Amino acid sequence: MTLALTVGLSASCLAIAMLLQGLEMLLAVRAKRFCDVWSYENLKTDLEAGLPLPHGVIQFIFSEKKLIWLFWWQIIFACCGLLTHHYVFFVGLFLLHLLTCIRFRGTFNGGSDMMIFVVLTGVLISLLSTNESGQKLGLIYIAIHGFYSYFKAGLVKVVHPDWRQGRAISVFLKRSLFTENQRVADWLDRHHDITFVMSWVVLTFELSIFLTLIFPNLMLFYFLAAIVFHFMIYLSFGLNRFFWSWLSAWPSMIFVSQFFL
Amino acid sequence: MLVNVDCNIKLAQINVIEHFARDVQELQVGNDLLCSQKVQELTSFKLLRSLIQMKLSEYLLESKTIQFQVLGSNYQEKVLIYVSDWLSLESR
Repeated sequence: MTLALTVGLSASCLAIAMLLQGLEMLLAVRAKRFCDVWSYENLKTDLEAGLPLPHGVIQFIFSEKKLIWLFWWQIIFACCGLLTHHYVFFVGLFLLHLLTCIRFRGTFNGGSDMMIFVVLTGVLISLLSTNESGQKLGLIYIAIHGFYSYFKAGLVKVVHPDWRQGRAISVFLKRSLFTENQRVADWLDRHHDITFVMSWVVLTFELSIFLTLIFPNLMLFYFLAAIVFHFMIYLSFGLNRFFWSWLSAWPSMIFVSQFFL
Repeated sequence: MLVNVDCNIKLAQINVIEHFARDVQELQVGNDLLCSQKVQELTSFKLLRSLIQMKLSEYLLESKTIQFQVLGSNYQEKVLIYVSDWLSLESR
């Protein structure tokens, strides 16, 4: 993959991820059950204590009505970013994402929000750089976070006996929002050998991710495995945002692995 | 896969409960007794109270006062994290 293609692909994937998130949030803030809980009234103590701005300005930015505009801007900027790859739209998306995270105190999305920030930062470094090394630096920044996110997830799992012994997957499935997963979890409980293999496939995939830097030819296989992995997580737990945000990190990871070819 | 509003709202609701449990545990560090007023000043408490109120109305369980508890569970044991005072929903 060429440098220009990688920057373009990262920017496009990121814009798509942020477009979908913007649409999702726009639909969410229109739902009464959403606004009743995450109302400005409930959050204002934290916002007013944490932001060095006059209270009127904070209310102006974060009230429920203005929130709708925040996500409309996100959708518009994401569409423009997707079509033009111009840095101005990604600066806008960065600021809007920051405001969203502040508004929801980090309780809304967690990990996928962090990865979006990482890719936004890397893409901005690349788009704002006038020379090749600066552009590469942005992609390396994304790739380091991408590789490390898998490795760290594997490390956290492997120290846990439930993962090593193959019990964790069915335990997590029982906690899923989707009640039909209960039957899958019960079935897996009766077929321990299958969950044992599945657990170790996940652990091996995550812990060995840095091997792609030593054997770059494995990268395509790992990429396909990651697609399947994130899709299965979406099917099991409904985490669609993880799929799109991690997907936007993969072009940089593939590009960086080519350094070692 | 593209837009999953309901699921993401439910996940965020679970986050509210987990966030509140963490905040309560942090308040407990160094204190044997939890100060009810301090808990009720927590933003996560306000979010949780609104969430409970919303769930009650979803299930058509109208009530002027409520009491709730938060339990932690790892499928082997359950740990009681917090029991609220009786709360008036009208005073909000």
